[in-house]
Amino acid sequence: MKKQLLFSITCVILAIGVILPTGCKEEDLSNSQAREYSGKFVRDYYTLQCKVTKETPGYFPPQAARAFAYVGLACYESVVHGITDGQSMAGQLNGWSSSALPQPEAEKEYNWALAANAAMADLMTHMYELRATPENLEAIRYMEEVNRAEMAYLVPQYVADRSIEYGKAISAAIFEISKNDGGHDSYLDPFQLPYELNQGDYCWVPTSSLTTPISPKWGACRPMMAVNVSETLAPMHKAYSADPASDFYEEAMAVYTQVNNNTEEEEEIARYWADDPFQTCTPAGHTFNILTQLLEETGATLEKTAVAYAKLGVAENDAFISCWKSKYDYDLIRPVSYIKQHIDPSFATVIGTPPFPAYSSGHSCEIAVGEKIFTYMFTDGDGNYNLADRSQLQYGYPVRYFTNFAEMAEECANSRFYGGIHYPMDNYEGLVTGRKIGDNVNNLLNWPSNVK
Amino acid sequence: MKIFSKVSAGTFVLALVLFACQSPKPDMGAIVNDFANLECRAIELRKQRYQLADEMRFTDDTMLSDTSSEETKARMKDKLMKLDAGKDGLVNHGLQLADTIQKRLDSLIQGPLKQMEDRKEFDKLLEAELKKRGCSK
Repeated sequence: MKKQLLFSITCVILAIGVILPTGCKEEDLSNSQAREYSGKFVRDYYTLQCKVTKETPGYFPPQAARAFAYVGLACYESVVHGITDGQSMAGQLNGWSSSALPQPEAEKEYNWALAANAAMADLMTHMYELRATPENLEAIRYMEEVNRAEMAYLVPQYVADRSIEYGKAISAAIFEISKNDGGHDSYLDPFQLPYELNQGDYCWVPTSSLTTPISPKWGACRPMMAVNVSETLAPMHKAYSADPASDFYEEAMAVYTQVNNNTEEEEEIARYWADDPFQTCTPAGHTFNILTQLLEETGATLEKTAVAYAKLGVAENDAFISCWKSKYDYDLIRPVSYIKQHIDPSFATVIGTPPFPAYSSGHSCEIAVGEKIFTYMFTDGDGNYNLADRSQLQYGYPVRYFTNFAEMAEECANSRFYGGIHYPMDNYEGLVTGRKIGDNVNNLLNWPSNVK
Repeated sequence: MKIFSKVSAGTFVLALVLFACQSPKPDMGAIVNDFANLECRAIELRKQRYQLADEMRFTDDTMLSDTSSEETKARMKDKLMKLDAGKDGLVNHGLQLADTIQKRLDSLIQGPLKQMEDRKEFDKLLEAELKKRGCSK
């Protein structure tokens, strides 16, 4: 009997021995590789950043994309030395000299999660601090504190201190780099006044009582990869003409016909992807929200999480610069203005037209970079993935389903056509630009391979 | 024979331990019902936002129209200001609700909806529940 009991107890101990290392392990992760940490806290920062973006005045799509990018890079750079074959973006990105970032001390232990936690909180604060609500600044501080308490458990104090100091130094260095990219503190003056409207039949005219467009000089910002602007600009659009036989008229007529014949689902799609800046964290924020979901679904560790946010960040940042340069170089009139002038004065779009020129489409460009980054990171190259996008439930939209990331991007691009906001050519060229940028980010920068 | 009974006892205990470590099947009915309460409010707020945005945009259009008389323009401007005053409350309410829904969804995903299959079931049941309540078509 005693022997039997002893055997059973042994079994229980063995079982616990099997379960504990995978389930409830508490251990010192000092100097572990980044893939040994959970990526959950990074996703939490992005969820918080979405909220802060929504609630901070002056955060329009270009400003939001830029802020998401720098926070992602702060995360990546603070953990890159904990990634096998990881290479810093210093020396790779435009304006990031190879000595721009601090290095971890040789042969010293670091806790990469603590470093990333400090870097992300610090940089996020810098990105919003001049207009963020006190509650949101406190939320960032609180998230850092709670994470730190949890992460530092069982980590020697000197390792924790060193890691946090390193993360903060990374944040400070990246913030310095960001200061001269042309977008520093742009949320304080998102309209970049003074700006004088161009004159000409083809030129953008205000579509509401808001008489100045958003961020007309954004195209002059420094891209993180020069090639993302120099080689991705949309080509000249179809020549402007009011002649009903012209290609341009045909573009406008296509919008007119579409809007007047939209199905209920097409109208729903137009609103779903609209991501207006007063209620959502902008189109770029929507794409980051999708990334957050993908990382959670695939059980990504800190390693893959850091790489993914950094990649999408670089791509989104440059997508808005390239697209905004096209918008203001071409300064093309919006469909609603053209249609009212030449086709039907009573024309009304499904959703409000945003206050900046038409060509090319910002939504199409930014979602196309998402398509490419997601395809590279979550599929074997074919883009196939069963995505149930739940990120818009919070705004009262249903879940939307996609089986391929290209399908997702094309629906987003088409939504602007259904909404009456963009000509078909705006969306087509936006997708082309975004896909090129996504490919550039995936292929021309040295990222760690086989991240988990 | 004895060794078999020992092994059986050990296996039984091991199974018990493993069973205890497994999360129970979520009460999907209660989860969906609770979430649908939030989602119905979010859908209603979205409709109100779009209604207000459309009204503001069409008022704006009338005001900007070349054919509007000065009197019409003044009236539209006044209307626009009133509409704008109502916007902040609606937007703030929407932001708070969005935050609540996001946190709730996150906690579900970390907890009872950890398994992809459960999430799929949740999506399906939520859609049906929202239709049943008349919150969505």
